[in-house]
Amino acid sequence: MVSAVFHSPLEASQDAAAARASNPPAAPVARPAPVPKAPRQPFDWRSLWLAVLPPVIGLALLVGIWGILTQNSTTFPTPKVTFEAAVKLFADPFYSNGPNDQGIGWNILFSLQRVAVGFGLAAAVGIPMGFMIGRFSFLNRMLNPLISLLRPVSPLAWLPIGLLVFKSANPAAIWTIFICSIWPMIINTAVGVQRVPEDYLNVARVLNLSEWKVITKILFPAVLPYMLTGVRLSVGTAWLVIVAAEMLTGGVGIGFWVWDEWNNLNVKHIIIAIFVIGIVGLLLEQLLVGIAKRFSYDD
Amino acid sequence: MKTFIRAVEFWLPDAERGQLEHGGGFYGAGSRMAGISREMCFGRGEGLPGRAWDEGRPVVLQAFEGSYFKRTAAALADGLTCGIALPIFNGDYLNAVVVFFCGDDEAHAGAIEVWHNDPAVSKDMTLADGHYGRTADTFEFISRRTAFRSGTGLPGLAWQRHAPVFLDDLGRGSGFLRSDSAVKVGINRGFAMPCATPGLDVYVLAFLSALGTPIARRVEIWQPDVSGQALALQAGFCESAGALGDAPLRLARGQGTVGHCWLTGLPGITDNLASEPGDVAQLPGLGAMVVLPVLQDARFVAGVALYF
Amino acid sequence: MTTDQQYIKVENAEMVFETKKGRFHALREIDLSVAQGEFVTLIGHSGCGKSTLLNLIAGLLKATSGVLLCDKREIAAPGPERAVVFQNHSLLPWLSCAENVHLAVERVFGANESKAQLKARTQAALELVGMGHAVNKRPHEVSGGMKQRVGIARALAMEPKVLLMDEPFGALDALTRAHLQDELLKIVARTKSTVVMVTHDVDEAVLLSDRIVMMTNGPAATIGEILRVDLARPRNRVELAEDRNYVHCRKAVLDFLYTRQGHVEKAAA
Repeated sequence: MVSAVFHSPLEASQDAAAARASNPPAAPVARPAPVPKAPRQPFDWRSLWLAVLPPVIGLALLVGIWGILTQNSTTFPTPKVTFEAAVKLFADPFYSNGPNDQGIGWNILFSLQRVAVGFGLAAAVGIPMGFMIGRFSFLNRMLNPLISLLRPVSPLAWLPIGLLVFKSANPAAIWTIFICSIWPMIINTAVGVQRVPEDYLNVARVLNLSEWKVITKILFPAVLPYMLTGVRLSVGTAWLVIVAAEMLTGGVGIGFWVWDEWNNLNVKHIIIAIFVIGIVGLLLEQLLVGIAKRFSYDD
Repeated sequence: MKTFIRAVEFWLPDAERGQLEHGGGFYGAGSRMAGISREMCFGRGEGLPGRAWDEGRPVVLQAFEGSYFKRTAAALADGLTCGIALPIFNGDYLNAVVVFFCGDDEAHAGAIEVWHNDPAVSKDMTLADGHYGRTADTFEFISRRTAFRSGTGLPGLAWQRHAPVFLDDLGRGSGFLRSDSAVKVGINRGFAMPCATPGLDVYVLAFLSALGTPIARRVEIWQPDVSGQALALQAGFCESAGALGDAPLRLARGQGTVGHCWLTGLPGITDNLASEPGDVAQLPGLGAMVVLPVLQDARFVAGVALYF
Repeated sequence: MTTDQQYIKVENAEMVFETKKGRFHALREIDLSVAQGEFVTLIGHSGCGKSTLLNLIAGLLKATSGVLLCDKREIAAPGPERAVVFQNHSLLPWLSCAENVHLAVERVFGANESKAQLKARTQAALELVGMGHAVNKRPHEVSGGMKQRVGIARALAMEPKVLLMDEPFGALDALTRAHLQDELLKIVARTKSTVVMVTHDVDEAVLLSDRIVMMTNGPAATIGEILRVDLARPRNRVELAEDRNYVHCRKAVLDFLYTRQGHVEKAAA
């Protein structure tokens, strides 16, 4: 089941229930097009409640424990104080007082921009390479050891090389993103190509399709789900790495901001940054999950 | 119990090789065929034995009346209804023609089939002709539509091995052989022998019968042993004794009727079982023995002994 | 017009697979002729190489030795003139039913015909199998039986010389299978296709075939027997259930499969 790759456990059970309800056996299911609706069913308060309540409780629990632990602390800020600082920060997220003092909004955007570039490059190089590796076993055997060797290297160990070659923080950071996010893309795409069901390829053979047609009509759509998994995995790593790289290189970006605030001993801002980084990461992932769902084919 | 084969005779070419003379036969007690056959001769193409000689292949004759058969009245008097003539060729040279006669009755369930393969046309062995009596129309229906490949089925096995094959269980399961019969019978015993004919065509003669109506009382298949100097009993079946396996008895060339068949390449018949090697005379119900050679490429491959 | 009695000709074909675990001798000494317009089924136990033989005829596999001809030309590679219907329908899930059929139609006729003509062919093929109403549905939106019908439509749309079917109804429930068998009978009568089908199902074989090729057990499987089924056409399954000759044929195949395949060892003549 290709689509199962994209669902987190939380969603899986809900989706299964939804799928069972909307797929009566042996009857064609209508596409989500405007259909004269049956009498409206009452809003499902119960499942909304069930969906929202547990995460809210979890969050409240976290804040509660945090509050209890920091009640009497001098160094660690309490939730209340942190919240107030956050409000101030987000009141004016896009101010600019010079290259090293920008609003949190700008910092996030800069980081995202670097991720986008590095990531885009990784996709541009990694996906075609994955295709070739999957399709031609000679290439596979040639490059596989290299990939296995380089993949476990921490992306941050690539950073000095980036700095050496590019002599500046921004390209070096992008290079680091590139080198860490390329591996899942290559590997997943290659696996996807290898896992294209034999039957589809046999259909292509019986139809005597040209290589181009095979790639566009069969390989590409079949591999797309795997590619998107690779992309989704990469995004998580890329976002992780950019924060760390920026801490090391400085300049602009959310990671730099964290390090800067540490130098200012502004622990509140660090905690806020943690939440912000987490939220942005989550949003990125959800965006990609959404895209992936759009392209999955329930069989 | 009556056997499926009621009578066996063999014919030999005379000295000038122009006619077939009676070489011997087993006809059962009080047979009219026995009386008239001894004096008869058949030219090439004449009568049933002559036909087999002329056509160079086994011939099945289902209805005597109004046919080329020369002894219709006697055959009908004996209760015989079908004749199968089997030519035994030594290369292109006819050694003998063996004729089997079967009689139909309500109780017997069995068949004699002639299977044929033309290697120039295909690898299929199909039914050339067969006699099914009155109780085997199912069997006939399927046999007429089945093609065997070498090694599969009773005829296929005989074809592949170029040797006689006896199967005491054909694996056909039991079934209702006649559409209006309420009696389930299994045609489960089979005996097939390849026929040596001039040319490349392959013919296999198959006898099939049900329990209770055996082909013969006892069937023995003798083949040269590893040394090539003696015949050993390779397989067989006896109605009273069950399946026959390897027996220690060895026959030399010329020893007994079977050994004589080996020596001459000609069929043999005897009703004096006591003078035969081994102890078949002790077995109940056996009166006469017919031995047929199975030749291939002018070599003696096996000798088949049928006891009645 | 005289029909070619050897439209498909397999001569002494052998198939040996070189696997990691050694050589696997799948088929030996396969000789088979199929006449034009004939419906032949290959039946046998699992592992008897019937799918391998079908793949050889399709050109998806290359025989280790032997000659395979279709319409007097050597079968060197797969092609649309020997269309295949797979057991697992193999419809591309990202294309609609019509697009799946169109892919085949375009490949075969695209060079010489206009878009409108191709569209007409696609529609006709889908209507032939009774799927005219569901042309724009995706495979996941239709049932298993419908998917298999589209698979058959795709194969027939190519106007192949030979239709090759590898247990096409094996994955379906009994009622759907029966329904599709009846449809196939009608379609084949209309198109007068030459069909080679692999099946496990004895009733299916007797109902559909002109000849049933029964294969021995593997490894090194070969053709054991061939039964000619000359029951009158058109065949009606309900009437045939009581037809004596149908029952005989069925029993003959069952005997081969279930009573005789252990038999060869017994006859130590």
